[in-house]
Amino acid sequence: MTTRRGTVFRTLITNPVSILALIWLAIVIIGMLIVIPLISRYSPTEQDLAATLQLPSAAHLLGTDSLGRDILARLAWGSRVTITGVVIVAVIANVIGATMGLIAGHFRSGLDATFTAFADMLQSIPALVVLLSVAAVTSRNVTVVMVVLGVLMSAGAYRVFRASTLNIRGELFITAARTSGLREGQIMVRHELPRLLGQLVIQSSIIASLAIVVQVGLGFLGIDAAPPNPSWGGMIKEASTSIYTNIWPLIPTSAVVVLTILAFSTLGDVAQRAVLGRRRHNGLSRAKISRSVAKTAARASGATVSATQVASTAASAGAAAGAINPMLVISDLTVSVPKDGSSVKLVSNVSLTLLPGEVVGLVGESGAGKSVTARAALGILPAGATATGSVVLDGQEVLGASEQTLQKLRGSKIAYIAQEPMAALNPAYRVGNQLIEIVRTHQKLSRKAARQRAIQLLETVQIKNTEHVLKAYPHQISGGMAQRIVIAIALSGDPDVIVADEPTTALDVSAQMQILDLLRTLQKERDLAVLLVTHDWGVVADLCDRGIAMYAGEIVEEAEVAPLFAHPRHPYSMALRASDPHAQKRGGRLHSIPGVVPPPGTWPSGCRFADRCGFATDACREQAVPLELIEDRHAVRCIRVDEIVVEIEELRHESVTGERTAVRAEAVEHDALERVTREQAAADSAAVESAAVERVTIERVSVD
Amino acid sequence: MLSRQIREHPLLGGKELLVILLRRLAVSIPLLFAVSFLTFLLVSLTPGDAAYTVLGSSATPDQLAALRQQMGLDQPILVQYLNWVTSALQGNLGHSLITGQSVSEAIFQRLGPTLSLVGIATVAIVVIAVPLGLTSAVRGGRLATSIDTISFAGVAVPNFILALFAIPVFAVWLHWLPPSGYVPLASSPNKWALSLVLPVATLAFGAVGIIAKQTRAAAEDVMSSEFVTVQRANGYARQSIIWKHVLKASAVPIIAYLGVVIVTLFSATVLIETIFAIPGLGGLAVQASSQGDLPMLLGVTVVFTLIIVLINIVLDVVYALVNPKVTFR
Ligand code: SF4
Repeated sequence: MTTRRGTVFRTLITNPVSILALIWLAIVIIGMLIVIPLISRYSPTEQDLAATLQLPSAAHLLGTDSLGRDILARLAWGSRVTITGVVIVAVIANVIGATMGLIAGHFRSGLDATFTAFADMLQSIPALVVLLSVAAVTSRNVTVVMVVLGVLMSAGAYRVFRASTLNIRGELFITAARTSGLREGQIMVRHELPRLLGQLVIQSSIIASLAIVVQVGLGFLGIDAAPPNPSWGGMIKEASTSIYTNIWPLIPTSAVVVLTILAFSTLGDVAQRAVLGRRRHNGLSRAKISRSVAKTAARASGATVSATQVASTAASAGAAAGAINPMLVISDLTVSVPKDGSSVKLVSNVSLTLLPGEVVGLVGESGAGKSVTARAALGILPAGATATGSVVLDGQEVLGASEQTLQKLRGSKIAYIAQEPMAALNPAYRVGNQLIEIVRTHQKLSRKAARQRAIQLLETVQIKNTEHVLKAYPHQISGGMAQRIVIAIALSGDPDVIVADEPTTALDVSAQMQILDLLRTLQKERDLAVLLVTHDWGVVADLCDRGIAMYAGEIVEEAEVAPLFAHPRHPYSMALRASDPHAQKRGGRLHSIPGVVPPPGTWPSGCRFADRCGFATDACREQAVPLELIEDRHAVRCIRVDEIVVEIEELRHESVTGERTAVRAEAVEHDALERVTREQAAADSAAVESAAVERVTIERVSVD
Repeated sequence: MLSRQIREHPLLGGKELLVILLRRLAVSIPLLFAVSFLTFLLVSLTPGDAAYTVLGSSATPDQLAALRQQMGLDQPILVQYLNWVTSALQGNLGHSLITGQSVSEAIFQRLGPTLSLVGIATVAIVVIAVPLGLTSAVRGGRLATSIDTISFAGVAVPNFILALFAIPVFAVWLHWLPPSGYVPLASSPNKWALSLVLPVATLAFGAVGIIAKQTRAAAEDVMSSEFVTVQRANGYARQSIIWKHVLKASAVPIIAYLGVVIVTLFSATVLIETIFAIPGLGGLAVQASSQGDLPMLLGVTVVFTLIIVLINIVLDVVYALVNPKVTFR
């Protein structure tokens, strides 16, 4: 909304489009307003009845009007009326709008409501009609008319300035300024006002472009310069009398008006873009997928292939053994989004397998690519993203499948439970409407039967007062209830696979427990395969058969839950486990991992965890680390995986004394990990925050 | 951005339709008084008063004084205003200084063309712009770019200039449509429709781009929300997600914008009616303004404002219908 003024001005003088606009305005203001009246050989009122309605010639660069007057000269002299008017309007509208907006936005409460009501009034006034009255009673005093227009237009400016001030007001440094004892007035003038300057540029341009339309319109109605004195509007009026016979005079006149409006609105547009950033993309537009490219790319890098092959082996070992067909096979999945002309990977060469009835947890911090991977299973990619590799759902390729095919798979083969239940339902429709719609999408049912089925579904997710819930709007129910409804929606097509993306993160603790219980029950009852995204190690231990730790877009460790939980082998998994609140009952210390996941596009070429790893050596940074099987169904992406065991064991030995062995050993292990996990933080809130950050990151990446 | 402005809007943040309507009235009634009183005040400040307009420059001071007394112009301004309000509330807006015709009657005669013009233009804008905006929000690419262009052109080319170019092209060269004039619906529905094509098209042109752009922005906002992902991921039909769910969820800011646009349409009728010689309120205002027919001008201004107030009330109800957070009690 707001920005330092530097950005806006700099954008205006560097953006090619706004440069053109500025050049045109310079032509109008310097050329027409000042220079031409000085040098032109024609007077704007000088008639030449021998040379009426002429096309452009050397004598009359823009031709002549129906009285033989030089059009260029009249346009130049006429620019004064328009420019003066526009300046008056822009100044008045901005001064009133900014002042009132600043006050209303800053103080809120009663003043805000009053001013906004006033702005509403002003915006309900038919401007042109009122201006006609003003013109009539002031005997066409153009200045007064423009002043009134400025007042009327201040309402629009007021809204923008108010909203901007509200935005700035909430920012940290304003709060800081307040606590440091600055008075409200000082805060407004010193801190808030300067931040509104960018907005001032935008508003001035927008108001100017609108004011010209009205000013020229009034001129067209004969309310500005008294004939024969020229004005742009008056010239259009004159030109309009000959449009049936000779349209020429209308063309240069209109062109000048239109170009000037265009110039101002371009400036406003460019400035606004500079402030707001680029337009957002959206998820409904189709993502491009190129599997063939993936294969070639994968083949090109031998290391990657071997890594993913190992991972696939690890995962499908069980499948091979029991000769069960996997429900979901993701192989060599790489998802990239375009950024600044190149492409940035969000997830690289991820392979995983989900067997029927199996629950697999994807764990990791924000930015690890868990959600991107999980959503790819549904054929949903971040906006503008490209995917390579393959995602096979029950024998059917998902990547690159048509929207129709996907629509059939989604809900009936694979379904999705989202992180924020309150945002997961359409606020505009009743729960019943949304639930019945999806029931009828999956099954041809009458409205009544569908309703019965909806009630059944609600009962399945343990909702009691079903009738009441069906009639409720999403904003009328709790987060836990909303999540149950989302689960009911997910179950409506009787899917085999459920992708649950942090299904409990946004809920309060008791709702978390209930939803986890519900998921466990449903999974058992229906033998669902679940891909569960979570940052919570405890949830993995609680619900999953297998866990996959992801870091910086790749899998770093994959194992059955028991070994993964008891003996994580990758330093990142160890740190994650150490920072898990459930694992720390005894120590009472919460560990979180210092540093952050390197954002997509900045992944190191060696081990991506090296910068945060307490065991890192130079060798780690040299080249990409492959994911390797260390034992049956346990893969780790760490070249020092064996040495680390020894190192920890040594540390443990050094401090073994007497009966406190176990406790000490644990403490020592923590100490070793302390190199990894130095910071103290409330893991719970940090986790919620990091989940939120992850979403933001995903969104931002897809935006840029 | 707009949806957020609306959420923070102290007047639109209401929870009950009744509250919203009461708030609307709390703004509208003072507005009507303010507009009429200010116009009234302006009129009284004018050097040459109504009596002067009626009698012209040849009138003797005695004649002027007599007429002033007869018209109540010698009374204090507040009394004059109260008199005007009292009779206005009974539907009597005074008489034209020029023709002597009753202002209410003149306005009533001219209401039809203006309402047809703005009404049809509004429908055209909604029917064209909303699907266009929604489709471009989904597809992006070329469609989005062309909407940007249309809306830019709509802003840059004032509709009266567009009308001046449209007349020679469609009426003079192509002979498809009448260049100007208005045929009442009652006399020939066919000709009525034809006579409105150009005025409606030029009037709606600018707003189509603007509303399409707003629709796109609002829809893009909605489409980035979680529920769209959830619906896609769980197999809701694509068409239903776009044309049912996203559309309704993004309706609130679109309606708010439509309100603003309708006000500008009414303003623009002033020029469009003049150019196409449509005997409507806008044309009446221009005529009254140029003749200094102040009672007429006052009446037209108040009626225009009243119409806009009524439209805002209708939009409030529509807003309440699409926004489940508004309850009906
Ligand atoms: S490869 Fe090296 S840096 Fe990476 S996790 Fe293993 S020990 Fe740490």
